Amino acid sequence: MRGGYIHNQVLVEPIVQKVLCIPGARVDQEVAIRVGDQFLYGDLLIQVGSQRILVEAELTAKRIENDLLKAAAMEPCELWVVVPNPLVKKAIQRKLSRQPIPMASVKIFVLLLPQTLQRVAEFSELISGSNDGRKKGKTIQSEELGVVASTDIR
Amino acid sequence: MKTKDEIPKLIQDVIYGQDHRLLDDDVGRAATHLLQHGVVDDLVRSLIQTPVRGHKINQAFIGPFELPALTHGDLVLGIDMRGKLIRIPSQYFNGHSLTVGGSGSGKTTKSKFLVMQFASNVEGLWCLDFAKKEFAMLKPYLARLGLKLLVIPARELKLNPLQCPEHVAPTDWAPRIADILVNILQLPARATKLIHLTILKLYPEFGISDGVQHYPTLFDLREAVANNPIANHQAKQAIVDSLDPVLMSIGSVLRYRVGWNTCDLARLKIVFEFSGIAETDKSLLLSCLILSEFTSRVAQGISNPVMDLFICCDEAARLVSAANQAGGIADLIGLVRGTGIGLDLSVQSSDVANEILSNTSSKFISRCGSARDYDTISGAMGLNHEQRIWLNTNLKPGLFVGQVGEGYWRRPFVFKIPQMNLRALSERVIRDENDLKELMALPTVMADEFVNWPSTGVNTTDGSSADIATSTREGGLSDAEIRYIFAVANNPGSPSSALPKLAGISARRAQKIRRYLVELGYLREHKNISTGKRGRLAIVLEPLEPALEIVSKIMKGQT
Repeated sequence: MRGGYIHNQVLVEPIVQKVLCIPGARVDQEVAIRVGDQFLYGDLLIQVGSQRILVEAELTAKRIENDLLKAAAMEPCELWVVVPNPLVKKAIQRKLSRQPIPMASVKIFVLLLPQTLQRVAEFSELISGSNDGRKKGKTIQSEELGVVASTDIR
Repeated sequence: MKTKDEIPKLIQDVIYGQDHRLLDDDVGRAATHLLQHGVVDDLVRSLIQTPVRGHKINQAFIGPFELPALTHGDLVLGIDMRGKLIRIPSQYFNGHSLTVGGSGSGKTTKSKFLVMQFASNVEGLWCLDFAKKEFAMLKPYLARLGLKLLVIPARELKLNPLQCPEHVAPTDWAPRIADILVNILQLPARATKLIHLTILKLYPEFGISDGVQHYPTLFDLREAVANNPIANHQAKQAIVDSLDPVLMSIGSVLRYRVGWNTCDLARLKIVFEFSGIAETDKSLLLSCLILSEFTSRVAQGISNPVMDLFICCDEAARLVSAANQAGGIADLIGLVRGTGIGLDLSVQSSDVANEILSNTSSKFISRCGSARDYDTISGAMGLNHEQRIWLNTNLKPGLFVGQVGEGYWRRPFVFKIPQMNLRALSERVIRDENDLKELMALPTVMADEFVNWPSTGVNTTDGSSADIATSTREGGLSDAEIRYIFAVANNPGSPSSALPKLAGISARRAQKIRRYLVELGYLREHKNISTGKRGRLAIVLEPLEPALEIVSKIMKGQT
């Protein structure tokens, strides 16, 4: 993976290992994303069922435009920008507030590593089973796994 | 030939780099090419030495095993010692895999980790729980991915071993299933011919040769063998004696003229729970499932296709045991190779048949309990002495040493399996009636004589089980057994010790027959009954209704 020790070992690796503990989650590193005529690379792509999350580890606010371009091209459910400290977080948030966001459907989160790990855990819990046409209230995930959301869609 | 010291340092680095595939990228190849043409400047030197130096430093921290160069593929096998993902193509498992590890070493966790990934990659998934009930808990997690995992206990299956698989001619299937039955039931060689011949006779009787699809059942086979007057008596008796317990135990599974087609099952994701049945029954059902599917694929001319059925066997010790070649899958595993079926076997010890070791291309070992286990698997994986010693003290739960059988990287490597956060589920969730509905909707035809036969209570020893036995086995008792019944019926109150002489059989055989008839519900034992003024207390047998019916029928026939 391109990137230094903090980028790879401190920020990306813990997320990869956390995602692997989620049953059925799939994680891909260095995902090629076609943006116009060129290929850019996303740090992590997490997939659980139909949910896709693009994760970008950033040590400074310099490359945030690139991250937005990647997210616009890939259209994941969420873009998580993982940063090493609150200073970088504020800088990225300021930069994001100043420029137009090209995609409205993608939710963008700027997170510190512990927040990211917490979000990974919560994210997996919030995914419910597919709607298989059963009656309301019979969803096994909601009853047995303590999941907030359920597949009560008819 | 030059010694190592005489070879220049740079060339040694090139050899090391090529050996460990460090120079396989574009830059590495260009540097090697330049070196071969005599261009050795600082840049070339740095391009070669930098990755080699980095690799050597990394290697120094991780012990005698190399860091795996397995970074591409759709399957995450685990995490290496540096925390990097180990990826391989899921098709590597087309060549089967074997995992050896003691209890609590993480075998089942590894199987679950792989199953969660395979479920998305293959069309069919069969998880076989031989001892525990582990795979069913994956059901809600696969449901999140939009995949339906069906959980079915062994006794709910609907199978007919004599049913020809799709695209297979009856004449081709008869010898195969005869061999399987002989192996599993551990019958003498002479019984093979008798079973084979009987099946070949049964098929035309049922019109199978004329295109009828209603096959004989194992009950029919048993009756045909028992009623064959010219068959070798010992072979006949061996078949009857071996088939009876199976029919009594899993008769509800085998009562179908047309059972589930394995081609249909191979498109589903199913957990087969075999934990509640006898080992012989497990072997029969497993062979019936796997051999049928395999034979069907071979008959269709399928060879070396993409794997579309992954079979995961947890706690498969008895099936792969070297000591139990008869009931195992050692014979099958070599044949199954190359038909698009991937088999993943997990066992606790290295008591594994040679065929299994030879035909599993990927092997994994975790913490084991004995040096013999380490030695056997180390030998099979080609570990050197240093690596073998490392296993003794460094393996811990969740940490494996593996070797994949496909691809260019075939060196052993160490990897960890992440502990998935799975929660135990209640029986109500696992046993979803909707699952069974889906399977029950598959076309089957029950034999007419079993239409009113309850699927439960087969093993009870009350009158109802005897009714079942008589309805299915009428006339199926051997001469000695019928003589024994007559002796009991005609001599009420006689101690069991007097019956062998009256029935004209040996005391030892009479004892076996007595237990057998009591088990089937023909007779009832009354123990510790005083039948005389002196001597020890005796066992007195009471003929039950089915036995009396047989006696009256035979008496009527004689008159």
